[in-house]
Amino acid sequence: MDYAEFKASLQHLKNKFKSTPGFKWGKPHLRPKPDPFGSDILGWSSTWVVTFDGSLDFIRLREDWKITANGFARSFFTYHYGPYEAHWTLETVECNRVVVRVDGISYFGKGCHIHDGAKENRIYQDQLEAPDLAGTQMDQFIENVLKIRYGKTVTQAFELKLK
Amino acid sequence: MSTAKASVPVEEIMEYIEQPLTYREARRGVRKFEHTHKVSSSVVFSGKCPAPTTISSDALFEWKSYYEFVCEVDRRVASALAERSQLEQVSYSAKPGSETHPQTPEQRKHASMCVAA
Repeated sequence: MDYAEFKASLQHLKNKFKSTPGFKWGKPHLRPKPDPFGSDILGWSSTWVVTFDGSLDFIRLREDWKITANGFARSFFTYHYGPYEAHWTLETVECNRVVVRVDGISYFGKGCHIHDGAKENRIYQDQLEAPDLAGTQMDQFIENVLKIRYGKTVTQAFELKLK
Repeated sequence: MSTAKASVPVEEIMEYIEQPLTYREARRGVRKFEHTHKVSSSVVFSGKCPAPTTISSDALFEWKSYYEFVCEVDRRVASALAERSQLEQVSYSAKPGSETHPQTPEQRKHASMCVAA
């Protein structure tokens, strides 16, 4: 998927949830990373915020893409859902209050993990039989958040199966 | 007679906020994170030490995004410089089959002047 296709995929994602009431879609913030030796780009990062009518909860979808030998690939991502306060800048605020969050990023040698209910509650991939967190997509995350909003737990919504 | 207009579903046109990330900004971002958390990026992203609890996931996301971009540009600069330096070192041989010697641009200039003379 190249940059133009990625942008189109965001439009497609928004259209997919067009009939779901209550979503307020922000404008995706995109940071293309230009190649200093040419007109191409080396990748991009994307931050997209979705809020809800009638509740101070938000979804923030962040992805980083980079060029590889086989074209562009998602390098890492973080999808967050939780409450917010009205004065927060949702694209950049450090989210300390978490309902659920999937971190598809490896740092300090630790792999992907999901936060269940709190920033401190991390369940790492090696503790899970399913799902494959690294494969989580934006639309799946939104669908699972909707399940939580309708009363399911994080474990139920994301179908977490502990080892 | 009334005319019925065909109703065409209009897709909402998506708007984006696009701001290219510059190398300078990314490098400054990396330095800021390293200074704030007193740890080098290579250590953070290679798993050589345990994670300090003071670094948030959001900060790590941004940090990694900057760091990978800086590394990729640095790698490309190093590769371009190496390529250029190889081009400048053209093999030179006084006699066919003899040992070859790399020439600097100055040496090449001098050699061409000798031939012209």
